[in-house]
Amino acid sequence: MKPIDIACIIDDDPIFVFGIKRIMQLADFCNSFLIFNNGKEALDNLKMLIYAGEELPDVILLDLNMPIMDGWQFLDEFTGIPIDKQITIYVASSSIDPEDTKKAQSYESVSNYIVKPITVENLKAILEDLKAV
Amino acid sequence: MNYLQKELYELLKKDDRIFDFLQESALDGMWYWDLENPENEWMNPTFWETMGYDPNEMPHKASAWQDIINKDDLNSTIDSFEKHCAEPNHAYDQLVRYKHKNGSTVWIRCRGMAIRDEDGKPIRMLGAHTDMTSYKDKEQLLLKYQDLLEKTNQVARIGTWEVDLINNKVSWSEVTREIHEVEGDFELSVENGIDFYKEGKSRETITRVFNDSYTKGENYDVELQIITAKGNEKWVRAIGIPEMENGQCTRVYGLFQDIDEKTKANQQIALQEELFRKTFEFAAIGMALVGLKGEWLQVNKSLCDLVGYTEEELLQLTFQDITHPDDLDKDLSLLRELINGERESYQMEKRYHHKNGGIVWVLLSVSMVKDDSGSPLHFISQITDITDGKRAQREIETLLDVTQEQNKRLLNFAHIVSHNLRSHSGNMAMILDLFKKQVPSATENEFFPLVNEASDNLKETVSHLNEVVAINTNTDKKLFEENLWEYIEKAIVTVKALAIETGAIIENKVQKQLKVKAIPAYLESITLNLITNALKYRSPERKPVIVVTSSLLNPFVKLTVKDNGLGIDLKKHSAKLFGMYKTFHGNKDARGVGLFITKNQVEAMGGKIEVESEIDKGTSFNIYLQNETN
Repeated sequence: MKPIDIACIIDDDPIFVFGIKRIMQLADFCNSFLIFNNGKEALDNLKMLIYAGEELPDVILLDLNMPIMDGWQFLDEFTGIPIDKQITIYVASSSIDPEDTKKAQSYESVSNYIVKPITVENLKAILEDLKAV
Repeated sequence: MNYLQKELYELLKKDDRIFDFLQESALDGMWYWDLENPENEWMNPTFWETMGYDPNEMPHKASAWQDIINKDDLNSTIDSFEKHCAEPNHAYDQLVRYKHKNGSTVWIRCRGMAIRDEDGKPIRMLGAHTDMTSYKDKEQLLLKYQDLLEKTNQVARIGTWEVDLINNKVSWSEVTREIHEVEGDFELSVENGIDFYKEGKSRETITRVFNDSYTKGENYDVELQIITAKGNEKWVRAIGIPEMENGQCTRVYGLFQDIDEKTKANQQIALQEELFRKTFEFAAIGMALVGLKGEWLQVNKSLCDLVGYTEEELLQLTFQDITHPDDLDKDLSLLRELINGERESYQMEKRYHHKNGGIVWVLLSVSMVKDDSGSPLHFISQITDITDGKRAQREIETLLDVTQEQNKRLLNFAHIVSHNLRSHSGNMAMILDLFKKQVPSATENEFFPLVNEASDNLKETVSHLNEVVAINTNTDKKLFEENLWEYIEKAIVTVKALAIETGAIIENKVQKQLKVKAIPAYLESITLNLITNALKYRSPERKPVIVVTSSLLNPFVKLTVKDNGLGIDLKKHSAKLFGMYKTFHGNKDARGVGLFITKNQVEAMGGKIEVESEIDKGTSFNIYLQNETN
């Protein structure tokens, strides 16, 4: 299975970031990473990339509960920016609150809601999903 | 015959003037009637003058007086006349009423004698009138007064009595007898008269005053009680007046009046007044009579204590003076409605200023007293101290605030459980997974399985906590109509592996069409949990048999899951059976949280759960869920 090019991880939890990077490497998920600690940092940097015409990530793994700018606020801002490239956004959260699941589904740009913890197995499933699209 | 009489007779024959003098002055009327020609009758002038008529205008005809004679009297006159004609010894003499020209009645004593021929046949009738009117009038008046007196006595229940001390005779009037309720043949004496008085004060009093009256000549007027011949107790007024002659009493007479009703009514009023006074004075609640302008007319001790003023101080004030300004308008407008007759009474909660400056909360009830013509006289107020109640209410409100605050914190805590705790346990599971894959040799280490198990346990605990939190924070979830039989089937499929392994028989005897109102996820969790439990706590000595049945107990559907397993010692455990994290069997899978969640889910759907169990026989769980039609 051919890995995707760039995976973007937006999460404030360094343990999760460490873990998911390793899992992605194990699953041969992507070639490179973009890591941001909160929504604001992600938004600013992604905007710069768009402005500079640099390559954008294929997949964004977005946490919901973050300081400064949370996942929802990021989604609201980011989905307002016109981009040519198809970016698949996954919400990855510890929250099992059905309200959160429902809200995530209301965003057209959000492909799926993944309840943490993420294992090598379910990451592989995501990858297959992506290829299928 | 006396010579003068003889002389007068002679004179009468010779001299007409003698006759004229007699008929004019000695009589009030004279008539002479021709019975052979009955229409002719001579009446002398006095005849007509007595009746108020002018003699010159009146004809000498019998028909002339027919119109003014009383008809009844005319009949009796004719009757008497016929008898007299037939039998000269029958005297023609009767009272006859004529109508005077002015309309009044003239009473005439009419006497007459028939003049007969040789054969004794009456040919003339001579009559003489005597005016009896003034005498008759007096007689009538006397009768009238006697009648009036008798009637008055009857109505007023006043009787008379008399003790004749010379002849030692006692007499009672009719009313006096009636008051004593004695029969007509009752033998009267001073002694048995006195014996009617009630023993004690009444009899002592009458004995003393009666003795004083005939020994000292003193009148008396007393109100005492008697016991009548029929045994009734009555209040009477007895008045006695002695009559003295040369210092000796000859007779005592007096009045006797039945005043029972009056006295009783008075006593009743006095009693009620006393009752009201005592109630008013000693009432535990504040009571007051309030004038139409709000002035305190009368206040009781409780009210004084309530507002901290003395009675004297309070009577100088109006209720407006001590009412909290925010409550005054409402009170005054209700008072106006009362005065205008728009309401009978009113109640309100209000505040008074205590003399010490504090606030007193009271429940005020006001009604109005009116006079006979319906005009307002004053108000009656009842005032209950509810300050403590108000304080308690405030405390409850504070408590409610605290509870709401804590509930908020609990939700916050629920969020921490649901998110933060989960993310940490998730991280740990993820790192361990990664560790296993990247450093396979690490799994050889004896600590690794322990850390792994601890992580799994943590994950499970967190997930249980999440379920509990979810149930308790989402109580307003919608209920759907669900087929119970299908859910049981689904649960049986889920536990199939374990059932095969243990050789269990699971029978679904639930009525196939039965629907209950449920939250699908909860119903699934409940049925699965009950069947799993039944398998989990099987007896090692028997093949597990689990029977699931249903019955309709409006408004509920009762679902029973019965097993033949280990059973639960309900005496020991019933209180905490459905508590969080309780284990009863020493079973290594037991977490206890399962039943806690089940109970919470059942209750969240408006149902209830019961358990019956016997050690080493088995356990039945009864779940009551709302019937679909309900």
